[in-house]
Amino acid sequence: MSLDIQQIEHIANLARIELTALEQEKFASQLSSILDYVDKLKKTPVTSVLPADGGTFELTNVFRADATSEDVFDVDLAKQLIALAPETDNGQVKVEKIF
Amino acid sequence: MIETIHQNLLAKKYSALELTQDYLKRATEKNNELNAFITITKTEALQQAKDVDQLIASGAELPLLAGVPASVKDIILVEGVRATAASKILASYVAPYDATVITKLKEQGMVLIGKNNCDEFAMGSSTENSAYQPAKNPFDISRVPGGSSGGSAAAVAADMSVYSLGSDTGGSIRQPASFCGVVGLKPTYGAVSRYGLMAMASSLDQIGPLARSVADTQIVFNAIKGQDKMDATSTPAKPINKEKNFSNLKIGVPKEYFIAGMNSEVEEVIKNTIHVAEKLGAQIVPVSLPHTEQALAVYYIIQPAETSANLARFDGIRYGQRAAIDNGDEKLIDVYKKTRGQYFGAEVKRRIVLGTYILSAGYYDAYYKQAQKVRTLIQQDFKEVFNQVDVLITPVAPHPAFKLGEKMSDPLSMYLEDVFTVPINVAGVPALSVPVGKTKTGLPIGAQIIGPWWGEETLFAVGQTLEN
Repeated sequence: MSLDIQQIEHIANLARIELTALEQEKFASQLSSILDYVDKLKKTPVTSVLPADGGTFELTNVFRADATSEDVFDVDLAKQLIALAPETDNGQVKVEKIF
Repeated sequence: MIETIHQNLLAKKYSALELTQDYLKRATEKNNELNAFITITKTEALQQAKDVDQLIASGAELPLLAGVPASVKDIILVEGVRATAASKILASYVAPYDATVITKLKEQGMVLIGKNNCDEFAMGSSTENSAYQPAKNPFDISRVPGGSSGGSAAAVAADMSVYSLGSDTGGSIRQPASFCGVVGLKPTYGAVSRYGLMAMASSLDQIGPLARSVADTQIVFNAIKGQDKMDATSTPAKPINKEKNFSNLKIGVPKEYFIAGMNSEVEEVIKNTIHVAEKLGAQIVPVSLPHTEQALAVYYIIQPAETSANLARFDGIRYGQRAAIDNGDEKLIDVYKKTRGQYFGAEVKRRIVLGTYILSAGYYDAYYKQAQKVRTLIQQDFKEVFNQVDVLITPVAPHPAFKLGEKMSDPLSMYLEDVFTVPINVAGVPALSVPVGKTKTGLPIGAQIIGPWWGEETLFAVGQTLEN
């Protein structure tokens, strides 16, 4: 499996990462060799094998009551979290226009 | 060592403050050379030490870990302390809360010396992917300490902290432990809460301790383990409490872990360790894990796929760095792309792009789903082998610590270094890295003891015998 520069550009756009021309070129060859390596899996017979669904061998569902955390009403915590944002305006996170 | 410190604190041979000052001094001095810490938390450490001294003076019961100087990989959150994940994108991020493991250790009276260097977002096997310069191996500073928890291993090996917490997604605790001659545990998946650990690959990540002895590793593991409502993947422990001594122990030696191209000194030391175990009375059983070769390929599909999803949160909006905007015409998508392009390092971008490709329409079934099916086969391999034996002994890595820069130009050759450690994460079983020898030039070599799910107690018992 080999990836060309156009494909890398397309995937990087999906991943929301701006790559330089040099990075695109490097990634095209490096990712192609990694994909060649992982392609060996296609030869492993898996008929009637179910996909694993996590890091544990026997999964069980985890349920809890849909309770509201006290944190929701913690004004200081909210202020603290918003203060972490690179740009804020009047207690709100500020972003660029979408369209 | 922890037990000795505990006794000495109780006997007032030294105060927690004196001990902390001693460690702070050594950590600061040695850090110039080893770069094992990104942040040294002097103010916090001194305050925590004074609190422990007060506790001792009050005559109240002293927890075993109280006053013991610790360090933590910079990918785990400590409230009020900068957490960079060794990335430029979080250069000035100050954690707003404690990870559950930190809450537990603080309850025990932890003294935090600082935050350890690592590969950026734990992606790497050498700590060379840190955006804050690589950490160095204390045994030879021209060599890597391993990775991604390389700063943790170097700090413990150089006595800059007594123990450290690392994270292990494909060998990131065990391989640096092996390269730096310390003990490292990757616990059973679900044994330790990951709340407050920056996620890389959620079905593989586990937090675990690095320390200078198996006994210390066990003490720290017992302090941090347990189910946590903040991490739905943490589960109640189902420990296997088989009393094990070497006369009734069956040790499996999987043939797939002794491969062409591995370093001959590593092979010799591990085979000698197995021989020692046999002389102590253990029964050595040749076994097979037939899908070992596929495990690395499974890992390098599942891990970048999950990474690409987990790291979507670093977008320059809610926290971390944000790229400067050139003019008024930029849109939200440009902020995302510029921020991530500018502040992520090469390996992080490589894995996100690879993972995005693997999960993209038309490729998901061929890569991710196929990998998850082969993962089932790998888990079955381990299940079957642990019906025959109690533990497995293998090398941790095919080579001892390599030179800085040696593998940086070829990502695939770096990935191949993880060949003996990734199957453990893919299966979810626990494994302990124990120093068992050295090369002729004095580089440490670790043995990997692998147990069945929840078999940590057996690993400690076997590890304690083999480290002596």
